Amino acid sequence: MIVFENVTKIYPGGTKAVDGLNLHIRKGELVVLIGPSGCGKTTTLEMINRLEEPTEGTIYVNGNDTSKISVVELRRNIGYVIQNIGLLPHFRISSNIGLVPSLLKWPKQRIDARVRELLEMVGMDPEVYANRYPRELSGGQQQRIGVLRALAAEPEIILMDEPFGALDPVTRENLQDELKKLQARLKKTIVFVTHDMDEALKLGDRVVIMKDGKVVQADTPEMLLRKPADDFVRQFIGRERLAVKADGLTVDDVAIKTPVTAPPHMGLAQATRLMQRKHVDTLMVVDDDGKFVGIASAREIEALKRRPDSLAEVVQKDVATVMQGSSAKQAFEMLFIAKVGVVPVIDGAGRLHGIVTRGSLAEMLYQALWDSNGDGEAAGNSRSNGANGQPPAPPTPLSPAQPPTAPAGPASQ
Amino acid sequence: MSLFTQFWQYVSTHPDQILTAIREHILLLVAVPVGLAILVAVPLGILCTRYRVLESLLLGAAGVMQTIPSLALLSFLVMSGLGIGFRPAIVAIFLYAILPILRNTYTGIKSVDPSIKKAAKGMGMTDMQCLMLVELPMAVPVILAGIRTSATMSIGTATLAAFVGGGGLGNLIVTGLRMLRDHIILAGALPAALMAITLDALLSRLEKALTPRGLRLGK
Ligand SMILES: Nc1ncnc2c1ncn2[C@@H]1O[C@H](COP(=O)(O)OP(=O)(O)OP(=O)(O)O)[C@@H](O)[C@H]1O
Ligand SMILES: [Mg+2]
Repeated sequence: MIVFENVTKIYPGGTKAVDGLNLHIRKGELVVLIGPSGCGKTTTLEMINRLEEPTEGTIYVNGNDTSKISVVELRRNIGYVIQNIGLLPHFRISSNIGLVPSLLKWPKQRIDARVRELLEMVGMDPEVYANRYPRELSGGQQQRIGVLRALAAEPEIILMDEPFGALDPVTRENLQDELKKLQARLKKTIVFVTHDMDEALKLGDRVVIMKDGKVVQADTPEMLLRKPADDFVRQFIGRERLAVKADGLTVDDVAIKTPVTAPPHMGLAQATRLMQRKHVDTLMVVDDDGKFVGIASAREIEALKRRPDSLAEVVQKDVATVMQGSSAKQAFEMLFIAKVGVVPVIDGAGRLHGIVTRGSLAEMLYQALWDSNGDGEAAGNSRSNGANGQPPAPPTPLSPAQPPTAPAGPASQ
Repeated sequence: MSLFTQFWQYVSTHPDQILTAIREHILLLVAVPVGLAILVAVPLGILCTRYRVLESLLLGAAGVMQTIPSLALLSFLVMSGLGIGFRPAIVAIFLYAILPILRNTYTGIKSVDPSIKKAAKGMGMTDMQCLMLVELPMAVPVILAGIRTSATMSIGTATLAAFVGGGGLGNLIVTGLRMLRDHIILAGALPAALMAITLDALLSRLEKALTPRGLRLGK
């Protein structure tokens, strides 16, 4: 749909804003350009509708060399949301939205109908807003109108330069959701420039990270998070990466690797003492081959009237487990939706490799989200204090209070 | 007899003379040259925003013109073959009126928010459409302010027309000066001053009325 072939832009004065850019944007794709200020995002965008002309190289739109198409023609077929909104202050909202259709000489009725349709689409009552002037709207409403103006003539391609910049986070989020919905319905080819990594990852089918006029990496958000090309990308994605990377986390990342275990033949008195000494209230019962047998919890042992001899008699065997390597999400759901107290992680041979508790999950998430020194990988593994189980009391801020309904009993390991 | 009674007597005994002077002053010495100046300066101002060469050339020339003392300019024009009478006066006032209009047209258009111009171009407006639909309407208040400056200034300059036989209220002032009659000077000066104040107020109203509504709103 849009192809950049070795495109370089040098401004008069010598600034090399874009440097040998090659990029292929497919039909129906939403591509996000992101990078530090001055890296050439706006320049790249504006070369598509020829507000800037490339110094070298060729840009093709729909297979046509743009330098050979009439510039007015080209622009009328490409929606454009400018970095600073750029509504015409002396035009009413209806005329602002209907600008390109009227340049294209649509009949007035058709323009009016289109304006109404668009305003309604973003939940702005045409009766109220169509006749206002831009200065009678809030910033968020103006940005909406800026987007509608770009959509008005139903162009196949839409260029958006930080369309939601300078908005409060809530409005921004709302507009992003609106755009996502619109895009799901209309399937336009959109080139979207932003500073905001969250926005890029949320909206982009592909994200193009730029630096000094060059593409550093162009990939799906998923791949960008998993395989950042270099340190710049890693740094640029920054903390957000770790947060979103939770998607790619496995149970191993969030598990306590050395839970407190006991063999089935351990006497109950000894088991109780072990729990007290290690400050845990559940034991992982593991046979001599390291195979997982079940869970014994202090509460259940105490609840028993008759005192059996060994753990084997009190161990709860029908415990839900997760396989090593499966998604952390699964353990998460067991802990927080099925309200299981502790989730054992086992391998194909049934051997116990660790356990996931609310405490270990919370700690891992803490590291990923807020601990700038933490590097997601080490989380879980390095929890040496977790290995011995955390003391049930006093609860650290990281071990959420156990709901009393937890069927397997509280496990604060 | 006080100056005021003398003045009043003069006015009531010479109504035709004064009315003719006022009419000449407004129509011949202000409306005609300022009108011509608008017709010439607005398009030139637009051209200045389009062509770099014209920018320094025209704005520079108009600026230099402004610095020539009015009496000197009038004399030059008389000597240059226009003779005496209304003609050199009209030409001089016209030349003076050009600069404020030219400069304001130029700055008015140049100061339209670049992102609005870029948006207009990005939507696929031709240069002409951008000018007529966006730049000129948005520059209207500034251009009108330039016209107001020119017009009020011209009322003053026009009083000098009498020195080259150009008529207008300056006639009364010059006569009064020659005959050392203060009340006759006053009969020319007072209407001229009132005229300047009134015209300024009227044009400032017009300026507000002609400013596109969307631009009048806050911010
Ligand atoms: N018209 C121009 N003339 C000269 N240099 C320019 C011009 N426009 C941009 N530049 C320079 O080109 C480089 C890239 O600018 P561009 O506007 O494309 O950056 P950007 O990535 O959009 O930045 P931002 O995130 O701040 O909007 C910058 O160094 C800028 O100063
Ligand atoms: Mg930019």
